[in-house]
Amino acid sequence: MGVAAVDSPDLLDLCVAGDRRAWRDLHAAYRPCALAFLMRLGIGPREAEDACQDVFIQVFRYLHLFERRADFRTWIYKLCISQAARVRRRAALARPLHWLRRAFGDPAAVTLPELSVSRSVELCEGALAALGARHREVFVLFELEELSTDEIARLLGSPSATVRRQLQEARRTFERVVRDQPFGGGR
Amino acid sequence: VKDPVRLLRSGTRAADCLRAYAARTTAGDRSGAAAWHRLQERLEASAHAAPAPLLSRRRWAWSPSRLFALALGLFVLLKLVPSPRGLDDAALVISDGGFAGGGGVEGAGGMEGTGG
Repeated sequence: MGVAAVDSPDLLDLCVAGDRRAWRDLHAAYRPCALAFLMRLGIGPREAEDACQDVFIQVFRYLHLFERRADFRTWIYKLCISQAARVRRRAALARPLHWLRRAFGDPAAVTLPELSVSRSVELCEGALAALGARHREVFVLFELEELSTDEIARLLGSPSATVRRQLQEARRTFERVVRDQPFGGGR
Repeated sequence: VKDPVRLLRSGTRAADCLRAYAARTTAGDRSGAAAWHRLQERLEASAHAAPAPLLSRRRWAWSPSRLFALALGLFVLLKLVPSPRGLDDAALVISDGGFAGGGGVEGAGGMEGTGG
């Protein structure tokens, strides 16, 4: 489920040297994984596009400072986690405003149900939403991005044992939510 | 310590859900070119936005509205907030009994006379 491996060191060197084509290749190689990861962290599709762009702006600005001790993909994940936290904070600030708009009948603020969403995807989204932010990060990085717990620990700056415990808790919650929901229901 | 087996490979209901979700959230390169152009536009715009020259930054820093706000702040600080020295002076005046109003208080004694 992870990103296709790209021969990063050469590509990164070219990018730092200012090669425009290299930047485009880098963007093409890592945008899908960054976008998918942001959505899996609970950022809506529309916000995820903007958040992904912000992540790449940071990549463009700070790539020359990237020390390459860690995998480039891991660095992208780290930037995505920070960006997702920023988006969540903004959404929390905007929530009262959103509520007011709904209360006063602004039709643009009413979200229409997406008809094409299958039941299992809906179930998965519900189960992921039941997790806390840190548990969700650990779960998504392990189950969907297929990072090892040691890699996740390095990325999040937590001890490996803590990451394993968080993963276990997240898995337990995820499986319970999926088990307790009726499969055939929904749209 | 070995990592647990991933849920995706477990063949459970949770695995089915995860697989469907992963497929749905995997971004294709369909809109990649458009995203690249948008990103380039943003980067170029920020590159062209050069920092303001020193003179205009100074002008902004010392604008009349800023000076007015500063003066107002100073006035409030000096006039409306009692200074510790001022409080000491007031205490000194009270202990001396030098208030003109003090006589008025004494005059209250005269009130006693009205009662008699």
